[in-house]
Order: sequence, then C-alpha cells, then structure tokens
Amino acid sequence: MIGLGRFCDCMKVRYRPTNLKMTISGQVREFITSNFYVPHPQALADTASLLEAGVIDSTGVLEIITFLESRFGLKVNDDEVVPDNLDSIERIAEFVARKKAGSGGV
Amino acid sequence: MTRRVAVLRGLAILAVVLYHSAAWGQNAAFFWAHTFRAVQSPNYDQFGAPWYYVSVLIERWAWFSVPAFLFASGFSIGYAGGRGTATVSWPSVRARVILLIRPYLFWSLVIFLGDALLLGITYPWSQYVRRLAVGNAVGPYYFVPLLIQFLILSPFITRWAKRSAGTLLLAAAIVQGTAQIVFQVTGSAWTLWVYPWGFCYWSFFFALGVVVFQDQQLAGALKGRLRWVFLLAAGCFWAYSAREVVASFSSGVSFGEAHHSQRLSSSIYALAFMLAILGFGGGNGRVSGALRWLGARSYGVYLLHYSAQAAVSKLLYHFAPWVLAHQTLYQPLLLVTGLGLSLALMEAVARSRLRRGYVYLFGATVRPKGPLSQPHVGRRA
Repeated sequence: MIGLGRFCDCMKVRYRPTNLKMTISGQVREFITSNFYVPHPQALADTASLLEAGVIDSTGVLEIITFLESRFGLKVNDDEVVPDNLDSIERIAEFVARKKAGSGGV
Repeated sequence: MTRRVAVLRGLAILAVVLYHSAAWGQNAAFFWAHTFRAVQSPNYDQFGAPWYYVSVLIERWAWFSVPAFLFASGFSIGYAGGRGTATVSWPSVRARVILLIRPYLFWSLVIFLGDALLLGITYPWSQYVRRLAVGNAVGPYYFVPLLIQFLILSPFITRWAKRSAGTLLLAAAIVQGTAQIVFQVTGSAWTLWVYPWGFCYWSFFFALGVVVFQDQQLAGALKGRLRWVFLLAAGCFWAYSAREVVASFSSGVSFGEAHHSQRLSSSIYALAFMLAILGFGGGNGRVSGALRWLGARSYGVYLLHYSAQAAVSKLLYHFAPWVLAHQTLYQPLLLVTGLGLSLALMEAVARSRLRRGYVYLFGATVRPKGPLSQPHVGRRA
C-alpha cells in the first residue's frame, strides 16, 4: 500500500504538468473558438498560427490577454506579448503553464 | 502598452465620427445655406460664429485619428513580427489584407449601387476600378488602400526597425515631412505617392507604431513624465493649427484647402496628442473600458458612419432643412447617427442569422455577442 501510494504520488507529479497543460489547452481552444470567428474550428490545429489563419486581428491579442489574466489569474507583462507566447493554442497553453509554474514567459 | 493602444484606437474612431460631423456642419452652413435662408450658396456669413470656431477646434482635435490608426496598425504589425530577428510573415500580411479588403469592397460596391440607384450617379468601368484602388467610394475610404500599402511594406519596415529603429524613424520623418511640405506648397499632388492616400504622406506614424512595440524602453518612457510634455505640446499645437485654419480661410484660401489639408502643425499636434494618450491611457475605469470596446468595433464604424451621416444629411436637406440652420442640433445628431446607426447595424448582424458574415462585413474577428460583447475593465497597462 505504501508502494502504491508512492507510485500514485509519483504519477501525479509526473503527469500533473502535462494534464494541467492539456486542461489549459482545452480552455484556450474553447475560448478561441467561442469568441473569435474561426471558419472551421475542428480543423484549427493547436499548432496553427492564429495570425496567419486570420483568427486574430489587431484587437484580438488584447482579448486573449484579458482572458488569460481573468481565467488563470496571470499578469501578462508587456515583454511577454509576443507571438512566441500567444500565436497558437499550444503556445498559449505552454505560456500559461510556465507562468503558473513560476518560471515566466519567453 | 497593448491596452493603451486599444484605448487610443477607441478614441480615434470617436474622433473620426466627430470630425465628419463637424465637416457636414460646415458644409450645411456654407454650401447649403440656400435651403434655410434667402441667400445663394456658397455663403460664408456664418464664418466667425461661435459654433464655427467650435467646429474648427473639433476638426483640429480629431486630426490625430488617422495617425493614431496607423500607429495602432504599426504596433500590431510589430507584435506579428515578434521581438527576435524574424520579421512579420507574408501569410500574416495576407491574412490582414484579406480581413480589411473584403468589407471594404463590399461596402464600396454598396455605395456605388446606392449612388446609381438613388442619385443616378454612375461612372465608366475604369473609374470604378480607380475609385476602388484609391478608396474613393466615399471620402474617408482612402484609409484602406493606404493601410494596405503599409501592410505590404511591413516585412521590410519591421526588419529595418529591428536593425536600426532610429534610422527608420528618421527616414520616415523625412519622407513624410517632404511629402506634406510639397503638397502644402504646390497645392496639388505631382506624383502618385504624394496624394493623401499614398504611404509617403503618413510613413512616420506607422513606423513609430512598429518601433514602440519593439522598443520596451521607449514604450516605458512614454508612460513617464514625458507624457506631460506631450500633453502640453498637444494643447499648444492644437490651438495653433486651429488658428492657422481660421487665418488661412480669412486670407482667401479656398474653404477645402483651408479646413481639410494637412499641415505641419497638425502632424506635430497629432504626434504629441497620440503619445499623451498612450502615456495617460492605462486606466482600468469605465471610460477606458468603453473606449477599448469601441476600438474593437472601429473598422465597422469607420466603414459605415460616413454613409449614415450622408444619408441623414441629405434627408434633412430635402425634408427638414431648418435643422441645418441649428448647428447645435445638427452636429450632435450626426454624431449620434454616425456612431449609433453603425453600432446598431453591427449588433443587429451579430444577433441575426447573418452573424457568420460579421467578419466579412465588418472585418472584426472578435465575436460581438458573448462575454466580449460588454465593455470590459482590465488592469492598468
């Protein structure tokens, strides 16, 4: 039982970051597809550039920042507002995971 | 800074509608005077009336709007280019051009059709093509071809900004200053790129937007004590440019040239006021939230407001010309019309079966119905 408990704890430690990122990714996808005009939501890959797909226009970045701050309790600094952090569902999720883990953005 | 740019965008579209309200007011007072007084038009008896000075101040205040939109577009392009050595990608440029051009073409064609059916105004096909190319379906539409020029140039501008922001800004300032001085001195364009819709005329503001995004120190400096200097400079040049207009018109310069041509003082005012707004605009109150909300709808309002104001003005001309005699009634009515009808139509489309066409009609990718449809209050930027 002790071994099983340690195993479970180990699995939690191992899988929490990945699970956390998947949950974040799901929330980000839901936000993007609900609040922006995405022609084919199912076809929008997590790695697809939101800029190049025409999903995000010049005002959209602010909406994403506002969402991240209100949903995840983050503080997005000016120097973190870059496509490397915000230009795809995957990048946004990774950015949020890094911020929540305390290591900051790009 | 992103939030401050959003506030600037909202204030700019409000200024655009106000500017055109004032312009229509002056048009009615001077060129439609025969409809409400026993005089021939044009009639300049009302030059010097209190409402006239107020309208000139409004027009000169609103002059920052086009530079502000170009700055905001440059800032947005700066984001698209990131902060590394890469530049903005051609697929991103293409996506932005498409977002702009679809609604522009649609509403331009609607205006051409309306002119043909309601006013009997038609042109040869070559004229229609030219008007679409230079944004001449209605007066304000020149901004779309102008912005598209900058978007096409943006990969080069962004790369230059990363290599040497100072030389980029210097070169852009020289190009813009030269274009404006040539236009002001000659009184007419002698080359394609000196026209107000040519990029040379406005190059500095777009470049500045790119540079401000790239340079965090510069962006930070704008939020500091410099903002008071910019505010003071804006006030001085605002008053000076208004005085220039009145003096110019008094000296016999034509109405259009006196009131609606670009001046160096106006450019300096626009720059100072824009930077002051960026410096002060980081609040998280209702006003900032409302301006960001309006800014997110700015392209739709820009495309619709002038036609709405023109329609109301012409209806009044024919059926209630007495309104044109009362500028304190007429201009606010146009402000409400320009903003209200535009936003109402956008909201109606968003809530109807046509909502899938919202992005094609108004160029905004943010769905207006839903959590983002309310003015949101964010933290201080």
